[in-house]
Amino acid sequence: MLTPYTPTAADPWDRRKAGHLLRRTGFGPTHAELDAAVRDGFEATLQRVLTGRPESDDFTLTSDFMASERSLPAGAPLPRLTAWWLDRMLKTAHPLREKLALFWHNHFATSHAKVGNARFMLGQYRLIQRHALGSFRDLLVEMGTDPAMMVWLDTTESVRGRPNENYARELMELFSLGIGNYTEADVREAARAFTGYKVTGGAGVFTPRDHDPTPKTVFGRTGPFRGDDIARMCLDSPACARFVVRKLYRLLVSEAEPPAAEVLDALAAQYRDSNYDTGRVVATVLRSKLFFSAAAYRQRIKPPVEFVLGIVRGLEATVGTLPLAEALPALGQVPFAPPSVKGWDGGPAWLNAQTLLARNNLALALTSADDSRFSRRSDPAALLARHGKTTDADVIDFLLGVFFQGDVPAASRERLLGYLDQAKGVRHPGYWSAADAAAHRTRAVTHLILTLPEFQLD
Amino acid sequence: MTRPAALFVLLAVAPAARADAPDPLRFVPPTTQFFLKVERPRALAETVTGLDAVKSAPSLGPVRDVLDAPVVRRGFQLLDYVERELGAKWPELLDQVAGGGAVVAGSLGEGDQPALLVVQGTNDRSVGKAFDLLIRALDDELVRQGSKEKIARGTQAGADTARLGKDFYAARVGAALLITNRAEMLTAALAQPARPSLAAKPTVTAARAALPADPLAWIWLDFAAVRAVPATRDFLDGTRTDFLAQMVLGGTLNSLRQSDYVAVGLHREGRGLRLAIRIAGGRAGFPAGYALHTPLGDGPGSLPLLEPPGVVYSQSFYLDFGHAWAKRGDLFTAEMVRDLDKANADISKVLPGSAKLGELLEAWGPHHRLVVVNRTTQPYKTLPGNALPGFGYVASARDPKFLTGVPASIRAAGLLASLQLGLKMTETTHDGVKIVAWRFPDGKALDGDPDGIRYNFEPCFAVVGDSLVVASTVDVCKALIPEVKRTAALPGSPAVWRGKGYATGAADALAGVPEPFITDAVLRSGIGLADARKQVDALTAWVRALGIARAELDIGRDVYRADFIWEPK
Repeated sequence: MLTPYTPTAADPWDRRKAGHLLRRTGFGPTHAELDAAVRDGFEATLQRVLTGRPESDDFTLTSDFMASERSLPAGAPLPRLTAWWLDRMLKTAHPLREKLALFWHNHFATSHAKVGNARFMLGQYRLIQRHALGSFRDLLVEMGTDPAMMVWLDTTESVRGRPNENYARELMELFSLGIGNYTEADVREAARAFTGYKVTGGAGVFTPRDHDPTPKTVFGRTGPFRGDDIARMCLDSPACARFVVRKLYRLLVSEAEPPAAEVLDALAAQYRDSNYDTGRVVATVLRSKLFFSAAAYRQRIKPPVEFVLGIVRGLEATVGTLPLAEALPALGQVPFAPPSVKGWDGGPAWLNAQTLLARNNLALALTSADDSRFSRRSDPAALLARHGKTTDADVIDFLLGVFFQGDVPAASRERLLGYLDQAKGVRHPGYWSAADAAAHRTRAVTHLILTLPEFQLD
Repeated sequence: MTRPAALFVLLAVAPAARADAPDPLRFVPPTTQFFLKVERPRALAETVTGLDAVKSAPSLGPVRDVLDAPVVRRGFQLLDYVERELGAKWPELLDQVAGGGAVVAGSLGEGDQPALLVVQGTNDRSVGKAFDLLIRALDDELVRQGSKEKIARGTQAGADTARLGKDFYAARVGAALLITNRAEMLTAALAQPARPSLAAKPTVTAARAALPADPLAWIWLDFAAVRAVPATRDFLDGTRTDFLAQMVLGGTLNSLRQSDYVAVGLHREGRGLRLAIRIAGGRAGFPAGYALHTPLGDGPGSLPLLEPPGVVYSQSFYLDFGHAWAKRGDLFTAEMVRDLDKANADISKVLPGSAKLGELLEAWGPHHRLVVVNRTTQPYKTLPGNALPGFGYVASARDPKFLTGVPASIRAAGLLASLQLGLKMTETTHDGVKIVAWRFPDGKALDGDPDGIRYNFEPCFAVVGDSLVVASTVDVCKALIPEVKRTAALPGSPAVWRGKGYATGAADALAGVPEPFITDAVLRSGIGLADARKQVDALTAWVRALGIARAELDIGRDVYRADFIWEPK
């Protein structure tokens, strides 16, 4: 099932596959990116996805400027921090890395609500992003002394004689092994290893004076362990690779079905044997026939961030990300503020009556050119004019091509055409021009397209 | 188009008042409790659009965003349409369709209150066309929105009318347009011209006379009616002994308790504008011996403003702590008096060597001055995460005991803080004056201050003549010392409160820490870094050109006068 996919006449590399790959490995493709993917072929597109392009100087300068201490001090409000990251997701030349960074952020779910320090949260993001497609081993070990994590799970309160179990427990339960692969005694003993860590000068430092240096017994081994020793011991457990790979499978392949045993075994073995090289496992999955099969296609619900950025990218909009960050709470996902240490559940949990309404309202705001947050910076009428689409059929096919690669039922396309036809007869205010009326129809049908059920699927 | 937008259209289309045009107030029923009247709408519109700050505002990114906002674009589109249909540009339309002025009137109270808009034109035909155009635009918008509501045309008391639902009623009476949200208000308005006009009501004429001449627009509020409302009565009675209300607003509240009206006027003032507030209540009506916010005798209400280099804001005001202490039984509740008496007894236990609270308050002079300044130097090697401006406070002394007692208390407090926060005391002399300061250890971590906010401060004080100067940094104190000396020789003002904002200082503050604004521009509008920098530079230049905004409060014998004046550069 992990056999690599090779394009053939019977199973060609086409726009649908390109869209599926670009959606799963990024935040929604543009029309030009879809064209380039089909034109360049599967192998070149996959390489581009895996390695990314070098970031432009402008992107790096802008992102670093906005993350400087004067622009984003410790007390900076959460929306600005979230908007900064959304800006990176929107403009990066390596979307897969940002997608994996968001995955690891959900894995090591740490919330600004308790940490309360934007510099600490930024520091954790940088740690995660550095290792997003790199070594999970290094990521897990370094996370133990990440200041944001230390505040979040109270490592800073853990001292000799009064060890705090929070980090030790979540390290095992949520970050590396999963329930059933450790004991309460392991947690208690490991907590003693995580004593004597403080945040000083913005970094996690070890202070021997507050550390319990006496022997601890964890996973049947005894020694004067410190925090990073415990992390390495978790990584040595056979359960670790399986635990993490199961989550990666859910991100990359399917939320609807768990991995088949042979797939899980193979990927976990590769992860372990590669010394926890995340990039290699990701490449294996993305290259596989499984990834392009019905078992993976549209088997995820788009998380709010992907839903929103997918619209912005598809419309080639030039909106600011601060209004998006301010709208995301209503959709249920705010980067840097997961609801708990378990992170976001994802899948069908993203959708309920309120969040679906919020999604549709935000789609309306981004397509109507009537919302002061986005105005004409997000305008389907302008998009279609730029691409020379003037007839009703051209408009519908272009939009369905960008957002669905044409993969919607024929009846949906007919209904959309019918809407455009009927809308021609609507009377508009006398002070509207003919161009206003035409643009209004185009914007309205774009909103309808983004409310199709298929658009909620990735 | 929504109904408020329709009102906006009409106000925007209302031109200058002509002397021979009837007064729009003739339609306003006497039960009205307030109105806003634009005497000369064209003059108002041309004054505002002619201001340099307004003319140059579209060059600013955020303003461009507002102008590009859908409702504003639609508004301009609608204006173009109206100009085409009525065959004239907006200044001429202002003269034709609303040359006699415009009034918005209503009543106060909870829930949806009746309101009335009257726009008095000078040309029946043009007004008739404008009325039909408005109704047609509304109708088109209803159809576009798919609404089932329809506008019903008719006549009432000889006037053309239009009605939509239960809260939109419009009528044309000759060259006057009326719009209201209540059927009974329309009926009353149409019948009102046969009765005495609200314009002749004594409090209305008194309010108009109290304002400076020739307002571009003015507001009358029937404060006698407001005072009669039980909630207002309770508020005004309750604040008689409320500590905070008395200390901050005592003078204003005493004036309001006497007045039958509040008048507000907007006036042209040189190249800028003046907003004048008048209340018919002054010191003559204050409780006997009241001197919390106003001097009893002929002394100045406020001392000259301090204007050190880099000033962003300067304020001078009258507040007599000694009077508050001496009359605490009359001014505050029994519980507050007990708390003050307890503080009086306890303060010397907390701050050894300090004088009793009551003695300090009685020795404290009634004149106070505050400044906010841009700091051009950093007091520490370590930079704060958030740079804050410097500030200073200067207090006059009534008794020399103040100039020894308060410094002793400050020294005692400084000693306690030193023990807890590791502060170090320093003494320097500047311009013959000793400055006592406390400094945080430079570069040493402090729990609870990850941003290093403390590196904005080296709290200090100095005694200059008969004034005590307290400042956030030594450099600010040094800048204030010559200012205090300079202003000691200048006369005060009868105004009991004065404030001045300096756009140059604000622009310097913006230029000093542009990063958050640049970041905000990128993240809010999706523009690039270079464009964001240009946008912030343009904003800084625009702010710098704003000049000065000042405010004065003068509680005279019979009249309370508050004026806010903007003087562009």
